[in-house]
Amino acid sequence: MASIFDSENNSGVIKSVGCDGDTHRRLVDMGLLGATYRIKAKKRGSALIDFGDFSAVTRDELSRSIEVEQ
Amino acid sequence: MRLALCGNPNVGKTTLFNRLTRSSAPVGNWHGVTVDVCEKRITGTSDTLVDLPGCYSLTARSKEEEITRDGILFGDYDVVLFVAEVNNLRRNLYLLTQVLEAGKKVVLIVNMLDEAKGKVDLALLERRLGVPVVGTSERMENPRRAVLEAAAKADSPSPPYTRDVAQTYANEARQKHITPAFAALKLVERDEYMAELLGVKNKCTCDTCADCERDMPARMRYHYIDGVLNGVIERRRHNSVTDKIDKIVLGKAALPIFFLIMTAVFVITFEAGRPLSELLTRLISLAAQPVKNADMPKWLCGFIGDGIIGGVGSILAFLPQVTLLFLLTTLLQDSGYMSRVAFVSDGFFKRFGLSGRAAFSLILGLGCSATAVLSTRGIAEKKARKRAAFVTPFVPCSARLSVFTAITAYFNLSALLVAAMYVIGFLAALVVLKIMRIAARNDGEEPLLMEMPPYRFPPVKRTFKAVLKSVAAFIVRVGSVVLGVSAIMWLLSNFSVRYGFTGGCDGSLMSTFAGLIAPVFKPLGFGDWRAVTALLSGVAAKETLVSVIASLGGMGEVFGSHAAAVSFLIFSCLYVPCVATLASLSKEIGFKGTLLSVTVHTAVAYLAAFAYYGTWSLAQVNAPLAIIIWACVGGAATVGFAVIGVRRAVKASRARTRTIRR
Repeated sequence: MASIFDSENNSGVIKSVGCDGDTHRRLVDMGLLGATYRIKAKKRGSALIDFGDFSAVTRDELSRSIEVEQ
Repeated sequence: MRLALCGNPNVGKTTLFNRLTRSSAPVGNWHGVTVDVCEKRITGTSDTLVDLPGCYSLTARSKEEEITRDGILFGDYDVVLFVAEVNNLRRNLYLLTQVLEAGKKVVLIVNMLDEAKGKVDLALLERRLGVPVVGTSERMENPRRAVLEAAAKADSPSPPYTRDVAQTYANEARQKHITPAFAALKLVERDEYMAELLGVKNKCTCDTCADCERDMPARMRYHYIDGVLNGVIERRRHNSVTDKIDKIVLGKAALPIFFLIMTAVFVITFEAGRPLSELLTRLISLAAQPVKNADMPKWLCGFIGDGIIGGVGSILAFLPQVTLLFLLTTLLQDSGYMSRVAFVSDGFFKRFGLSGRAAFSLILGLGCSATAVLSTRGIAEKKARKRAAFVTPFVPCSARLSVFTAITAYFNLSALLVAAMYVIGFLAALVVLKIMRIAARNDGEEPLLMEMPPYRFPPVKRTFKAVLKSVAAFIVRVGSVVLGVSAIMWLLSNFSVRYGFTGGCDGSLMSTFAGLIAPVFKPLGFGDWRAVTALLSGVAAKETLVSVIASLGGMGEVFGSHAAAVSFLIFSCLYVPCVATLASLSKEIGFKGTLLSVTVHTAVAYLAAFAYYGTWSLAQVNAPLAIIIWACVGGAATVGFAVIGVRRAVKASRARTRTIRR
């Protein structure tokens, strides 16, 4: 399964979040599980992603650990 | 009744709090405005309302989230007023489900109805959730009555999925006044606080968090929320305005746009404010004239004319510039642009062990350092939070702006010098951050996921109120702290125990005391006891730097040369923050950390001022030597950076080779 970081379409649905325990909890609490995503802008090291109801700046390390279905 | 306001960040809790209690707690279009509990009586009633900081879940990760978790679980509130944003209901209700799991009586307030992208059926939402629902927005009439009526009918229905939860440790939970279902769900989530509270060993044994059973409660909650919201809200479109603006301001020209905006802020602040400021200076000077010539004892004329009117007037003259700075920074914050700076600057701040979130606190420091230090609470990682709080006071606050403007205006120096002070402040913060990062061996980096608010047109009334509040606070500060310190410093500087009124200041109490310290500042060019007196008073409030100098003879007498004045400017830009900021620092990084911060700020200020004045002095005697010394320093720095660059490149190349071999 691809991650947000290497997704080809720049949009899709988040299937699972696989980073360390604390970050995982935070991302789930912020509503990422099952949310749609759309990459709005990219900068070196991070991206601005629209998660459907909200937008957030996400570092590449995090983007790599968020698995998606395109 | 005691009511608590709770909800996700940036859903309008504090705006509602201000409307219900007729107060003026700070609000803004960014996450983490409220970092502490705020309590007031609801207007026209005996009920009290408590505003809790925003959070996403009752699993706390930062200090402000702990405040909210403890408030919800153990606070003596009769009803929780849960605020949700109409366009973000799915995510907002996730926290609501946890408040209901915890067995609290709830009223749901659906806010920002005027921004709804489609129809919202609040009656259906009320029936499905089983709690009273009130719809409101800033532009609608005050919802006080509706909220109080709903609070009287508030209920605490358990979400249906809690019936299927195996209630382990039920007795332990009840002993701690926590509902067994909530405790059980938190234990499945591997909530460390809950495990500790109930005395349970609860470490996760999974290899990866993806598909871990700890997500089961979240999936149950979202399944329930999706059912509740089905048919309640229309499927909404993307926020196309925000998308279009983001495409421009976060595109390839993001950095130039940022610098253009910040330059515009400073140019408008100085150029538009200058004529009014000059007019105020003339008026204040005219007001002081009759007092100086009055038929009164000489000391009284001097005290009122120089100590009070001269001292306070020298600061009040910069009111137009300070007002403009407040207005422009408020507009930038409320529009949602300031939060974008976190994204633009994240890659840069990563090199210093922080995220773009820290840039947000640093920029807030342009207004007030004390508030900016408190705003670092929004940084989740503890060490990164402490580092950000430690360096935030290096950013020149609005009080220092009046010092910069007064000195540059008196010596007719370029306005670029004021801009240079801001560059020096930010540079000092970055250098100290880098050293702290190296000393901490690169640990404590924050994995950034920072929510961006949508762009909003700042409401005129709210912006006006916020600016008025900041201006009023500035005037009160000038009328209290600055006036008091100026008066005391004038008296101490013009009287001695042996001779009484000294008039000429020499031999006075302050000249004796500050004269002992003054030689320390001689290498910096301002070894005059009056400059030292101003620096000492500046610890109370930075504005007093100017008022004390004005009351003790003025800039010309105190500094003597442009170079000494610039050196003083650099020192005052970086040295010890004011007492209000020190109090904030003490809250965030502890007493020892604050002491270290005072030492570091003073040392950095001394070194920077010495570097400037030393170079200037040397250039007067032997200009080529000064150039050679700085060329050597520059060369050494370039070689140093080149060595670091080469080492990094070699490391990266080795890592690549290892990966290919595998």
